[in-house]
Amino acid sequence: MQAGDFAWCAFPERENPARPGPEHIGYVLAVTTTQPATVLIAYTTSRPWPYQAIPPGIVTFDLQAAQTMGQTRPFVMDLRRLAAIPLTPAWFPRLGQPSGGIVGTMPKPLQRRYSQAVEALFTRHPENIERLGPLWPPP
Amino acid sequence: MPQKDTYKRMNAATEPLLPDFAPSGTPPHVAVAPRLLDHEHTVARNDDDTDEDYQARTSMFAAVLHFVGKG
Repeated sequence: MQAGDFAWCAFPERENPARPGPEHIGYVLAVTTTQPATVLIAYTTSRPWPYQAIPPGIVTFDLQAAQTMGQTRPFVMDLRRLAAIPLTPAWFPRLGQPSGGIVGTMPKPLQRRYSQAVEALFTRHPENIERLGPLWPPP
Repeated sequence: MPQKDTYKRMNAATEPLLPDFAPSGTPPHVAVAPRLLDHEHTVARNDDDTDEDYQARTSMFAAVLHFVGKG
């Protein structure tokens, strides 16, 4: 697994942010070189964005774009909802499969664009970022 | 807190990689990597990364660490 991948993971829920949640596809923003690695991963959902206004950090992909990234439905990526989780089977239940649970990869230019978007969020609007997973320092 | 004691005992065998970082009640198997800032983290470079790709990613990660370091 590497940055730019869309991967199945046990994305933590708000109610229980330090424990694995239901399986979900996330977007891998970064993987560290530690052993085991820490994965910084953004939330995605196939549920359409319900509002007319799209705030910074929300990215919508139509079906055509989604299909180029291995997905079968339009989806929304929320760069404000980020998990820091270990690269282990508890958090990536499909690691042992041939695919490693990876469903697709984002094109390089978009990877750069969204890395810059996350950097801007942390720099300008950090209060909007939701930090989930066991590997963030305490607030 | 029995859960926390158990966690500490399990961590003791693997220090210093696993400091006592997990929130109370977190099962050890779900928090087995060093928490951000508890360890020197470097972002892995993809084989097909250009310098520009890698720079964007490391710059983003530096902003993340800078922010959590303030906390």
